[in-house]
Amino acid sequence: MTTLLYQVIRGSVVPLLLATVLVTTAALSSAVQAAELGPVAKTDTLWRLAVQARPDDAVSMPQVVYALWQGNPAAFVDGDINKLRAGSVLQVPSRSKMLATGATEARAWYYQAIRGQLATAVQPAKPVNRQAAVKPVPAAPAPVTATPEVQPETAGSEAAAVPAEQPTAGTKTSTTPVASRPQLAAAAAERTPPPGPAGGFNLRQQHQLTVQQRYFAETGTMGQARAHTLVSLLSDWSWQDDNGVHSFQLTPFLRWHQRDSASNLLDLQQAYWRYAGRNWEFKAGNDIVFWGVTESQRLVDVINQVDMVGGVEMESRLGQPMLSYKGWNSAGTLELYLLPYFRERLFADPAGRLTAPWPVEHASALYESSDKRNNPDFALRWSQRFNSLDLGLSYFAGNSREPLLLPQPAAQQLQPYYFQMQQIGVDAQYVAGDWLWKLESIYRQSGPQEFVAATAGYEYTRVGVFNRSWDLGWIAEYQYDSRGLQAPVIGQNDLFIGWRLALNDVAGSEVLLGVLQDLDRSSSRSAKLEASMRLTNSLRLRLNAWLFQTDDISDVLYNLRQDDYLELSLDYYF
Amino acid sequence: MPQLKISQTGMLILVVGLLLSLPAHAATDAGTYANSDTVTDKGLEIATEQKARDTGWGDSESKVLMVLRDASGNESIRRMRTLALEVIDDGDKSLIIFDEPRDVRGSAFLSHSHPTAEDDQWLYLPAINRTRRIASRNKSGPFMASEFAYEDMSSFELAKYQFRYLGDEEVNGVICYVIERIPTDKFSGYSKTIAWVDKAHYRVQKIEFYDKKQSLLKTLVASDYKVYLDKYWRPVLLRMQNHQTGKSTDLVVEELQFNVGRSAADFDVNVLERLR
Repeated sequence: MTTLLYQVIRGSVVPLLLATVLVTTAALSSAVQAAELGPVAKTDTLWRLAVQARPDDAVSMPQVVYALWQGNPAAFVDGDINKLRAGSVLQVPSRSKMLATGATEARAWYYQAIRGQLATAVQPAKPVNRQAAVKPVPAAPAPVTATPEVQPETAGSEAAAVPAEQPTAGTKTSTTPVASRPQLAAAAAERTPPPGPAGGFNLRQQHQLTVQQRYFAETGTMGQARAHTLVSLLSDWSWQDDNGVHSFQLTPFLRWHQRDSASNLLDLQQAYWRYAGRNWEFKAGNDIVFWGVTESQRLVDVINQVDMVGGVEMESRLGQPMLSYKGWNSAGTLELYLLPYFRERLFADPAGRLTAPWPVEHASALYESSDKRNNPDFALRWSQRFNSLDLGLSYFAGNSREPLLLPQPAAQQLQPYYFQMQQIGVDAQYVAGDWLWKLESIYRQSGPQEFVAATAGYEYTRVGVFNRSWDLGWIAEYQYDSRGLQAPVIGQNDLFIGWRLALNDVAGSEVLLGVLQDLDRSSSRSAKLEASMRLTNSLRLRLNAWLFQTDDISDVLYNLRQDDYLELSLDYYF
Repeated sequence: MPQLKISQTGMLILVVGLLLSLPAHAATDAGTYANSDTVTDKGLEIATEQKARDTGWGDSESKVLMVLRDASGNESIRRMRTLALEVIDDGDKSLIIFDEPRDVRGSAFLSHSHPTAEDDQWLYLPAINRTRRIASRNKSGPFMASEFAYEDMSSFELAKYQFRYLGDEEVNGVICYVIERIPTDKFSGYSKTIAWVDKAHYRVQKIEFYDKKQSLLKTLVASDYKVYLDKYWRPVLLRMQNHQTGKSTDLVVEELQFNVGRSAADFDVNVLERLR
């Protein structure tokens, strides 16, 4: 009897118990994962539903989206994640199912899918556990807080316009109209790509004509005239193919100087072909490369030759023939340059002023390299961004851009001598709130000379000064050169203090005032004023003024002691 | 709403504050509402929904015209092209290429925004082929001399504000939630903004901006909404009126396309000089 009873118990109760345990476990685990979402309202987006379905931060949003899409093939028109069927109920896959696809793969898939380019490799799988969807009544509230009035079967219409989690239960209306059809049609039309440019190449051009008038405060040391007119034209043509792989750039610069033919110039600042990939590019031809961060002088910027006629601030550059490669990834940006042909520094003759008292005789230029101008120069730079710090390291080997000017008293000329040089440069900028901290430093070995130079300082900008929408920047930079008083540069131990005021008005008015004080020679200083404003949509007026003060004949500034000038420029853009 | 005198309001704040230990930010104006936690929660709820509905758009490209108008009605024009990329788990990326005025043509402004940290911003100047990094902490300055500040142009992020639901009101013919937003960024140019967000589609219909002295500074009205990709509503016209200077700016979206195939590579600093 006991045995029989035992057998009965064993035979039926235990399996029953086991079954109960199993069923309960299954139901519970489903309940924890909040089982399903929906019915989907017309205004729902897949992303928003995924936000609700996301179990925790360890699962990325694309992983959730992917799992939802994979687990609910019927909910998408043509399997397109952009076309979520209104009224459908989404089964929420388990957390482990979501994590089954790597975050990177899911993200890549997501970006393709939202553009309607479905990754063919990832076909929607069979619905997950349809048969096991026991529709458990969740013990805890499911993410969808309000139960929609409309049943899933009938919600295919536009009735469920209000999202299920309508936050204002008190003012709930279920009759909000959805987007009208004409608007939807208009939106669909917007989605078609723009028509490609004719011929597959896209041409853009712009031109800038500048008329400049310079007035000098005094007649020059050589008796030069006080008023000089300069006219220049900068044209810019760029062609680019549809996908931006091939492009051509042509930027000729033409300048005429009223009093000095040596200052006339026709230069191809840019004339290159570029072959570009996603994160690299190759260029062949003339180009201008800018390196550096500081305001008062440019030390590391060494690839392009200086056009001294462009202004005493030495910011104008000549186009440099080159083959260049630039590539970037998470390890930073690498630039490589092969510079097969050298450009000599452009000096004005004394008649053009702002230069030495004797003309520089280019025809007699001397080179340390036996290849002279054809010396293959080489440069590279690596740069990287570390949060708020931008760092660049550069190297250059080849003809020095800066000639030694040898006086030839008999001919009353200066003979340029270009040494070979090697330079290692570092440039850094650190952003901290309204402060930009800047550093440029070089080590250069050039012929018999070996030296270190640096510029370091900051720019601090205040927005909305004087209770107006003006921005005022304070600039302070210290210039150092290890050659000291023998350095053939102005800034060997100098302090630059400047103020930059931007009025943020319709005219885009700006003023920069700066003073460079020599700390070794107390009576040597220079000051500059740069101001500009827009007159019309295509006209800009600029005013530049320079003052030079020194009584020290050994100072480079001494050449400019009578060259205080004011320059008015009118730029016309067309 | 009951009109309470200042002393009564003060007493109420004091009492409610003592009894419920309300967070300081919610108690500042508690006199008009019975339960500040509720209005704060509801404000955040509405803002969250507004953000959620504008999630998943991917990338876009647009052509924008700005008409700047001074107090006497003189107009000047700005034209630009913009690219935008939605970034999951971070702020969006945007790129603006200027076409007019002509003297800034080809200049480009790149921004990698972050919901809480400072944005990374660069300005590319084609004349000297130079890309400058910009200190971005203070975004209260005007964008292109318009009545839009840089901060008005940045993407809407929940972390940038504290929200309070103030009630319902009809604007532009649609019923809206009225939400007060207090910027969490102390460098914001505003003490608060009040936004009217319609109930039907959570579209911003109007925003009032209050300056640091709590006076009404500007009003933005958004109109001519169009729907893109069946879900995303964008206004064609944004009109910003400055009440203190009498100036105004119209921002007209002349063209807008989504899903143009842009990726993070198109928003790298290194591609700025490729733009024309």
